[in-house]
Amino acid sequence: MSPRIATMIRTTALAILVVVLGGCAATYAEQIETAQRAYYRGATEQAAGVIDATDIDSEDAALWRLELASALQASGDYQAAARELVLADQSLEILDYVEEPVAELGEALFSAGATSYRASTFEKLLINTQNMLNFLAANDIESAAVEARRARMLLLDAEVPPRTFVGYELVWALAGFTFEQRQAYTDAEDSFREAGETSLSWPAEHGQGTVLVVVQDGRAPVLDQAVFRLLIGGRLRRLNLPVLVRRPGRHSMITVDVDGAPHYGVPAELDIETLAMARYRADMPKIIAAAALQVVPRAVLSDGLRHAYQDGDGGDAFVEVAAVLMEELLGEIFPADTRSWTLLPSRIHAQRVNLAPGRHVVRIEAGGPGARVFERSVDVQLGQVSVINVITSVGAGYGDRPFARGRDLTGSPEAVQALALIEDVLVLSHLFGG
Amino acid sequence: MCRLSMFLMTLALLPACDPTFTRASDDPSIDEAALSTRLDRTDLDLALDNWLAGFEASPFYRRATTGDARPNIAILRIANDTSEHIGSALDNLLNSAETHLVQSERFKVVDNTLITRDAIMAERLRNLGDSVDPETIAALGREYGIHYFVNGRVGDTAEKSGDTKRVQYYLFMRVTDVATGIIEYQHQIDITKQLDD
Repeated sequence: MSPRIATMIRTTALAILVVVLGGCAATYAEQIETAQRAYYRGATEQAAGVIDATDIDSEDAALWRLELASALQASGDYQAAARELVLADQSLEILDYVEEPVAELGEALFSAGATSYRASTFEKLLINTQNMLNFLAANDIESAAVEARRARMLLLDAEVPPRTFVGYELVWALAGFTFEQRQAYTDAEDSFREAGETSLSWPAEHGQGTVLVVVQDGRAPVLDQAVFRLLIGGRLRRLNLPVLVRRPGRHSMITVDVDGAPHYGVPAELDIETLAMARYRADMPKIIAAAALQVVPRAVLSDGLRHAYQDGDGGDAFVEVAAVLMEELLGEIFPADTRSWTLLPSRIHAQRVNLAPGRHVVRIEAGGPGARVFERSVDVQLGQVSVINVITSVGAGYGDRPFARGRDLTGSPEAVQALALIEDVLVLSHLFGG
Repeated sequence: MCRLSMFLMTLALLPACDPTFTRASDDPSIDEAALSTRLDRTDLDLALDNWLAGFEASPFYRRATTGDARPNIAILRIANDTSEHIGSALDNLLNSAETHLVQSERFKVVDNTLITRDAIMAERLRNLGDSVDPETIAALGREYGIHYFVNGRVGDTAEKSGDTKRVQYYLFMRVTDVATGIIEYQHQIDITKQLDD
């Protein structure tokens, strides 16, 4: 073996060592899975305990707080959940897909957890929405109103595009409901107007109390990595792309019965899945550009290896294999960042039920495939608000979609969807000379 | 390529930086920097100084503290009507005001925790906002012998432009006569905080 080939093999072996060492650290998806399994099994306190006890990277701290808050809320500890969300909200920086330069977006999306988790404005809005609910359930109206103002600020500053994607009625309606409890009637009226007609604005009559029925249905989509190989410059280049994956468990219909009779309210809804998918599609050109930018340094390095060692002395096949291997390994070292708030529901549904004081039985049916029925007994007090919070995924089982690092999604529905989006972008780019 | 691998290995082996801790008594300047748009101790100290200066110079103060009998006063709460979670900062402000009133020996200060231990009264006061209804005012006089109480409200105007976020706080603190329900003294304190990313 020539000294040149030996050097090349040593170089490649060292790169393999780096990957193996890097591979020892668990990914976020792997770390959260134990907590997810407990949560979806119905052991929400255990899920919170697992999250609390996990030795996490400081870069993921704010994201873990979000997951912890979800587990605490599901276990009924609303005050602790609220505290975690307040801390997460204070520490989370915003990743703005529209304003962020492609290079910086690439750094955020392909740093493999090496940078602090940054939230989208949509996630920030979800934090405020979930915390309005936490504080309302904990009967801390003043703090709920703080969250309502923060949510309103995000919506009014158009940081979350309110007119591009309709669907923020629940946030407005819940803010209106909170302001009404706070006796800030002008703010309540403004918020209810933005929400449109929902039963959350129907005031309790004299001699009644109020039950806020919240159903958090299904599981929010999560990010996974798709690996594509594109022919660039006559060679196959690996492209790591974060894809948003829908998860099963969403029901087709939510109905509410009170004391055995159907309740015909006008629910307010926040369809997290639809809004997240719409945002993902809108952000796709930027994500692809950022992903493509990550290909360049890998290609330069592997091509550099080729040029350094190809000499026509019969070792070129080895060099080619090593160069391809090098590019793959570098792709493994810098995967797409797939961290996301996984314990969120697919959608949130809320109704207001005004009732006479006393004990009432509220029956909630999540209809369709995997139908589930939840029955809650509630003591209604005059002029007071009680919150019923049902999370349909808790106790529904983990499901059959395990996540695996570097899973090759070629041919999967998610890959087909992402590929279609890439093709759309390429066609548009071609049409408009981009 | 060898260089790349060596570089990556070197990065992994770099020693972690130890955190450093500083005591304000050693370096008073650490209390001065604004680290967020929420209220910090410097803001609260300024607000308290501002309020006390106005309060002690007011005709009400002179009138109420003239004579041998010291009137009973209680510090209730400041309603947070802002977009920031500053409830604990407001509690600290009230505690500082209470401390000052106790040390002035011009009033008998009724322990606030006596009132908040009463579940019904605490519930009445908790979500009231800045207004206190006549029934609660009467109960404060009847059940705790309070002549005056201090409460308030803080609101804000929060704005954002690009990477700059500015929060303007408007803090109102007032003294109410329990017997008449009349606001005897009110003072507004303005505080502005700005964050540039």
